[in-house]
Amino acid sequence: MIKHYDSLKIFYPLAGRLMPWFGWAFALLGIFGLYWGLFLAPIDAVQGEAYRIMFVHVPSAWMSLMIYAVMTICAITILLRRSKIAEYWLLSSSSIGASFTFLTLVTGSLWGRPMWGTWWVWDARLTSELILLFVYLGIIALGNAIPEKRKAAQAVSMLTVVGSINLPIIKFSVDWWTTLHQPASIFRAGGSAIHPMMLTALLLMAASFTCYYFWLILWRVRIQIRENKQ
Amino acid sequence: MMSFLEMGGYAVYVWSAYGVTLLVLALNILTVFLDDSKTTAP
Repeated sequence: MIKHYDSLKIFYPLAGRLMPWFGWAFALLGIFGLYWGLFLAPIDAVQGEAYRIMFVHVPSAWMSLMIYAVMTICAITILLRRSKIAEYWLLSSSSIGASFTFLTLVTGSLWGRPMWGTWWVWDARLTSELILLFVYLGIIALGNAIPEKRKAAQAVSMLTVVGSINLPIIKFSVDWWTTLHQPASIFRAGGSAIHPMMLTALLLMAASFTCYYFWLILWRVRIQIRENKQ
Repeated sequence: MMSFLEMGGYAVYVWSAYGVTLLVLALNILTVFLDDSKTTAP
């Protein structure tokens, strides 16, 4: 018990000191990323200007998977040993993860309409990402349904671990099945297949979104530590 | 400037995508900010 108390005592001020760095990094990287993506990156030979949706769509999709992976690590930690920080981190992550999953689907739809001629198609990549959104919503509902934080975190942990089966399915869906969605062009054998200016814009946006997540999660965990003390 | 906003005829799709992204990110920040102001410092 003393150990937990101490770890929260270290975590709380440390998170408070890190928060502004992540907040400002999110804003600055985001401004650079938008400038790079909207002004500096060249027009796409096939898709014209419509491809610029990529700079919000792809980082959102990466975040939707990354946040779930972080939640799975929290969940395994909670199932193995007691950790208040992991509990708060897990419970606070799901709405941010759901937001990015929602954005992935909406921006993908807005990209699919002019490029594929349809808002939606039931191919493996799109369907598995939609399932991820439902898993996130299930996690949020389960977490809210149980008033006691610790029990909520334990129930959510089990659901999170079960739902993590979906992560490799999303990632490899474009290789395992024939999909309308294109296969990976950044993380692939033989190096990434896009223009360096486009890649720079993409990585700036991804870094910005990552900082956004850490900024908000540290903030949310701090709020939960305070609420628990009252 | 006008040609930039037109996005080669894809303005509706491109700006909707950027708009919804900014909106959702801003709403998340607002939610946390409101939660924060409900709890007092320890």
